[in-house]
Amino acid sequence: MGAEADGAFLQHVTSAKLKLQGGSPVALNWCIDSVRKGGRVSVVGAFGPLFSAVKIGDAMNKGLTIRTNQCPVKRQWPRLFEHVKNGILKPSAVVTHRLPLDEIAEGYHMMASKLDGCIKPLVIPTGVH
Amino acid sequence: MPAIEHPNDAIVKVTCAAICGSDLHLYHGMMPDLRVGHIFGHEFVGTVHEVGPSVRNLKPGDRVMVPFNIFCGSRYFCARGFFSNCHNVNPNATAVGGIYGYSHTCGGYDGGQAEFVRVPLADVGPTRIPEWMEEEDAVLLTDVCPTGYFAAQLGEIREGDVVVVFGAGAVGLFAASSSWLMGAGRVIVVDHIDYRLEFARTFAHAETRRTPTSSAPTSASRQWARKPTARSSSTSPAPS
Repeated sequence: MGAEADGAFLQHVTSAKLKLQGGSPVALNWCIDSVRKGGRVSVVGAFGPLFSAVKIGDAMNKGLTIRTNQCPVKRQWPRLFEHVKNGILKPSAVVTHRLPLDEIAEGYHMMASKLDGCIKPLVIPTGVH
Repeated sequence: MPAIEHPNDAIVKVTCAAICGSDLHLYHGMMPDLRVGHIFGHEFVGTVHEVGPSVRNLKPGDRVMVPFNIFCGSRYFCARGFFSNCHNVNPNATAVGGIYGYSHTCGGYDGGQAEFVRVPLADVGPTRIPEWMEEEDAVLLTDVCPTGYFAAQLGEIREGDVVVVFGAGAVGLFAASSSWLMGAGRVIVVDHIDYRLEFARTFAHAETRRTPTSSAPTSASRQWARKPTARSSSTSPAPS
């Protein structure tokens, strides 16, 4: 789910270029179209606060439950700490790049352009390690 | 160098920070009221450098992880667990609370892609990193991993459910792997970037589907959900 999900040219122009929409509804509309009737859609991450052309009519007529929020991180910690401690989740497995803080501009470029297999870049201030 | 501005502030010396997919919204100019000089970064861990006079839970030298939410921890919404919707820390918006390094719309708090960062409400958000936890796991527990897990929670997954995750970025990968923990019967990750779909297969043990970049895959994805065995999968089998 993403505010800038690629997909439809019209949506890209209205949101990323003209800023008429607060975020791209592309992925959310795919979700609404994909789930079964009575299904559940969850929306996390970042979504712009402005108008967005979400297919609310389809969602309503299919009887969907749409649940949303930015994550309340600290509420998840007790359970996630246990999962990490027990080796059930290994968050750092998605780290693909480690850059000095001075080279962070390169990190943004790489992340934005999906270069070099980038999934999750870390930045480390000079002299820390 | 940030300074203590309130008695419950702490100054944290950052030892590791991450770039988040949502930082790209700032980078691409999608966030309103992003001001020149604002420091990005809402995923970071570090060492406490200095604390304000009212801070009781932290002391200089502590290794801390700081959740991306800034929240008061005590009033109406926080008392009900809605830490990301705190009404007490961000006069610029009614919907969202405070977020480090995420524009003045989210409170204008400078972020952690820096050497030092001011951490407000230092007794509320940060936690000392447990001895056994690696730093790189800790930094990913400040947003991306909990957010993916949260997505799976919000989906109220019941045993055997088919879960489709749109987007194989880090959040999507954690949403997919968390779905297995909650009893999903099938997990399908959809994206248009091949190396990320490969990651979804190996890291999250998910089935994957590739979308074209310029047209909606809705009829196809409907078909996947409706006929679980109708299409051959180009993916690794789900773990039992």
